[in-house]
Amino acid sequence: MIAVKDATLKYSNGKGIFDLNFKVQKGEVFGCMGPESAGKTTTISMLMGFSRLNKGVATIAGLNCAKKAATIKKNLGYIPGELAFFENMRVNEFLNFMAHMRGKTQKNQKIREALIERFELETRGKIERLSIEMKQKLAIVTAFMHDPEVLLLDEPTSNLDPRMQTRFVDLILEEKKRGKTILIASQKFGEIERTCDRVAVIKEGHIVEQNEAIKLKSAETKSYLVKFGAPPNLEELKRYGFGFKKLAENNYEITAAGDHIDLLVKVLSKEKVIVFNSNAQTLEEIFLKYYGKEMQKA
Amino acid sequence: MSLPLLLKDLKNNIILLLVFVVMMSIYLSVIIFMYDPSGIGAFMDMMSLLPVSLVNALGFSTVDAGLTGFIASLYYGFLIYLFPMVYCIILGNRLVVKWVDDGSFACLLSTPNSRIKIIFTQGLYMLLSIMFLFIILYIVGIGVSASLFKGVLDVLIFSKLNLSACLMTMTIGMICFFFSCVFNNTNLSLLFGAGIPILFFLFDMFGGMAQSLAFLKKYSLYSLFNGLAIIKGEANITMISTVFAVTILLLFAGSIAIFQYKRLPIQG
Repeated sequence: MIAVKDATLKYSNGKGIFDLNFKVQKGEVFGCMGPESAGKTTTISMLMGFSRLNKGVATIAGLNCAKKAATIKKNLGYIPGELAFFENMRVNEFLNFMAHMRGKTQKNQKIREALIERFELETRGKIERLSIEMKQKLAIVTAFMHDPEVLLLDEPTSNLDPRMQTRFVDLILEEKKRGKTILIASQKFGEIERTCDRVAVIKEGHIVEQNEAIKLKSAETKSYLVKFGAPPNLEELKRYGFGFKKLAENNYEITAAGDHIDLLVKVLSKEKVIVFNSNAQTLEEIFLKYYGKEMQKA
Repeated sequence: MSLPLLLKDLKNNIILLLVFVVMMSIYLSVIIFMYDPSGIGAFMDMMSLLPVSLVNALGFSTVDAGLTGFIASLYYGFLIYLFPMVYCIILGNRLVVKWVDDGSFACLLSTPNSRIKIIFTQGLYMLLSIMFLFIILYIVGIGVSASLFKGVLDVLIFSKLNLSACLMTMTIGMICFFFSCVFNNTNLSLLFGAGIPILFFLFDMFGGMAQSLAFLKKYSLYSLFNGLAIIKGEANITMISTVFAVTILLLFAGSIAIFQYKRLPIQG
């Protein structure tokens, strides 16, 4: 559905994206990870047709992103990384305007109402008076309200509270079930891990790792942080093939295969467990492999 | 052309347009009201109080005795440059670069409308609103003249005056619009979009002030339009209108072409 081949887009400050290659199949959720100014937004900018490439080609549904931008938009939803609306408009007025610009007015009214309800979007006030979280919700409703086939989402949950983030993840999973093709650029491991089939890590405009394995790794091996009230029977853990790492006195990180969790629970039931936390850091670890130094400095 | 966008432009900018329409209509009415059919003594007395060079700069030096000439020199000699120019600068900035600069242009581009279509709509609004302004001025001019001095206004010449002034303003509007499309930054757009019309204006004004500065007029677009020459029948209206119209079309086409291919700095 989305295909990017040897895409290079250089800015005058030397930044940009370089020889990017990736494909997103129909019905797939693809995650783009990387910190600020790694090239995530530029990637989306290229797909949106805002900037022409110096080299290479990007297509959506077989259409060239720069040349057929308007046709592509018929079936595309977009959440910008930097929220900018027509500030002097009222929320409803803006949504109506966007619907008119898309030329679909009546058909999708129900979807729009459902989205407004789901994200508790305030629709009466002027946009300039909205909080940043409300604006983020407005961006979500704007992107999804015409029920597009392809979604390009740049930091879609950056301003949402955890409750709304969960609702957003649910929305993505529902849309995925309905066969939508979704590209999410994000710095958040959690939402990427929960939604994406495949992940690409972008660094300084290059894709440094891209495969299903990233996702699989995190699915295959679960990691838990466990605090015991008394020294645990490590032999028993070893016997069932669980990995463990001592973090502090009576504090362990225990790893288990995805299909052995019930067994782990049974084994641990014999111990005095005080704290049992899921450690969903797997993707983050992979990420840190590439960004370790910078992240630690920051 | 995108109708919803044109309507949004209208809604955004109707107040601006009405302010200029009302202001310029009042000015025109007052000037017609000031006309004294028995001579232009009262006005010239007033002008004699001002320094000669200022009177020349404002183009008030050679006031024709007829009503049409009176309007041509007092209204179409100076005010017709200044006020519409301010309108064009403000509107030109609002129509494109403001939205590019603050990022909201991305909203328009996330809909199935091509850049060409969007920019064409914005430019069309610029031209249509200027046309509206001059249609109102035309009606006000004829209406007020008819009620105060029946049968004195030369409607044909007044039409020619209005037509060429309208085309001239559209040209200025398109200059502002062009730079609004070229730049991604409001300040740069204003530097050129406002700077060039203001330079034209100053050249025209200083050029009229002293003989030694007359050469400046050659470099001003405003000099193409000469109200008094139109009154005296010396001006070639067809030629002037064609020059303006061609300039408008070239600038419009240029605006669209540049906007179509440029990179938008949307931090998407």
